[in-house]
Amino acid sequence: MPVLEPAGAPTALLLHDSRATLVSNRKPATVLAMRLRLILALAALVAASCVDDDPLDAFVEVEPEIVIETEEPDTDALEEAAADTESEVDEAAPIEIPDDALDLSGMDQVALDIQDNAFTQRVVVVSAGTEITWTNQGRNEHNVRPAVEGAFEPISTLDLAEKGDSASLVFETPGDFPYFCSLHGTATNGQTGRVIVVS
Amino acid sequence: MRRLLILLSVFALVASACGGGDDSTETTAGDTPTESDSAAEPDEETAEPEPEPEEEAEPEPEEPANDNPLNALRVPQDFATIQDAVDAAEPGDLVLIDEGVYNESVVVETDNIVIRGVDRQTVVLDGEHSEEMANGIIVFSNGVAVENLTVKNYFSNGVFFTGDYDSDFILRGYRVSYVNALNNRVYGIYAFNAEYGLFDNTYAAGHTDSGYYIGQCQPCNAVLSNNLSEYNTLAYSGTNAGGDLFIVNNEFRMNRIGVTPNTLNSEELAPQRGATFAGNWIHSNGNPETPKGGNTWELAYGVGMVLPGANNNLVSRNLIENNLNGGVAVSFMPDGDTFWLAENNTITDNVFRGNGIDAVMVDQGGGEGLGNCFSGNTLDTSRPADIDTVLPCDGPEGDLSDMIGIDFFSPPGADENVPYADVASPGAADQPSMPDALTAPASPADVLPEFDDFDLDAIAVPSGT
Repeated sequence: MPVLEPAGAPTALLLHDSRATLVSNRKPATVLAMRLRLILALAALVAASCVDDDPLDAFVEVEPEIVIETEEPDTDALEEAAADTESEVDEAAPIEIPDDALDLSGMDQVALDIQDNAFTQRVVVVSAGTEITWTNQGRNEHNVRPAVEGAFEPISTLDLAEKGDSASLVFETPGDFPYFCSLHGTATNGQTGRVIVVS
Repeated sequence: MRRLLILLSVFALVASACGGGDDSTETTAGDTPTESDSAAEPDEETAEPEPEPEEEAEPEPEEPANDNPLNALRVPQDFATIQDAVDAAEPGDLVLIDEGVYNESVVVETDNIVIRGVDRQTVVLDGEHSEEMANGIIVFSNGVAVENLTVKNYFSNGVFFTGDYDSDFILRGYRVSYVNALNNRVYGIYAFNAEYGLFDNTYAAGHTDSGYYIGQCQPCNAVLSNNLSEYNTLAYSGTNAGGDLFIVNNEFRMNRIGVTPNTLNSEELAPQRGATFAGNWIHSNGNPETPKGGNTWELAYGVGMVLPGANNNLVSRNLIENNLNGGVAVSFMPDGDTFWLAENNTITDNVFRGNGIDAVMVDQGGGEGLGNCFSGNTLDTSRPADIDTVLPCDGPEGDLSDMIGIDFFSPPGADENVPYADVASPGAADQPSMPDALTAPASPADVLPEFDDFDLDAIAVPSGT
């Protein structure tokens, strides 16, 4: 169980491109700061109440609230991007959905687990606009990186460093998004996963 | 000879003596003619007719020495990087790495190749602690061997063999010999979802989890032998790993915690069961000059061997001495909402001395031994007291009323937390190189022996010197 020290202020994580948005569980949010403090305080109380009797103290994890951030849209840029994307989608070959894919389409939010060393739900089908949250259920640290560089903003190891850590991405555009953990795999081997986004 | 010994012998022979006794660098391999052949049979296409042999005749010019007698893929002579050579290798090939520092993270996807350094100390793969070089060598293929080099400063692991969790691919056949793994952030030498392996004559220091890690295999069909692990959080960890898994004749010293076969929910194949630990020298653990790997393991700080949630293991003929807080402890493993019980472990014929307490059987809730037993051990202190008598392997349980609870796992710890990159590796420089590294042909780890027998009688308690 490696110990990762926080590496200073969270990095900017917004809207890498038009297809996916990273939503970090570590990013401070002014609007929701008080709610977050309240949640953490309650969690601390719960943890403290277990100290005397519960040998599982070491395993108590406080899961920070997911904070979804938005930014002012650049209308022109979005229209341009949308036009480009439509063109790309129209020209792209149809995506073959494997038999073992987990169909989670039609849901606004989807929760996926990570174990040591695997993405538990390896292939999922979601609808455009779905927010996917990965939670580290393992003892080791993990990350989520696109198999095709730039396909979406990666989730860093710092965001999935310990058991209970979670981080999210919003997949806005239909497409096939293979991904992997760079600590336990490569783009094509080992700890890999795949998100298929349908319209 | 029993099969384990055969396996060890085969690996040892292959690793050390495949040069056939000829250590000349002009010895050739494969279909390349030998030096003597060359002298007797010159190339027909280029040779001039030879004069009658006369004693006074001037000697023919010697053919250029074969500078690649092993037909190896050499780095950097033939390939600029190790990865380039590995990518070009075919099954059976040897990638031979010359002295130097290589800032690479090598991915292996070809079966049955051997990656070897010419010298254990001076062939160095260095990850420079960069996340972009997570593993020194990560292997996705069967039968790969890594020999005679140092791998250090990687963000995750030094040498990492892994099957593919979801595709049901279990890696089969792996070997690491004469390798130093230093200051890699998580594990030194690591096999996950892999079977039929051997770590031998290796050294691991400076890891925030364990120097050696075997995870998620049942049966593992693996051997760790003649390795040295020190200055790690854990010397050896084996999560959900067992079944013909033999940890024999190793030295585990000066770690934060020693040896831990264990059960966790975070990997498949729980619970851990069926490993053998014999002939090991487990000593002087409880070293504060190590990384503090996390609260879980800190509970067992200074214990030589702890079996949390471990089952059906044999712990025999080990010398377990001078561990700060405990020699051996058998306990449940708390993991989230799960309490994995430790059952049916057999601890026999070990020699304990100088430990904080020699042997502990933790009360797992019912005040019973749950099939764990102790016999033939040489020890002074235990809880319950006189543990060989009250938890015998060949009789009924006695009075267990003084078994202690999980409180045992809050021994005096250490506030020190040495960053993994700064941890010392005092034993590294003394580790010998692989014999005949320049002449031994490639021997991939493609031997898949069976392990249906194990000769415990062939294992002796270490002398401690």
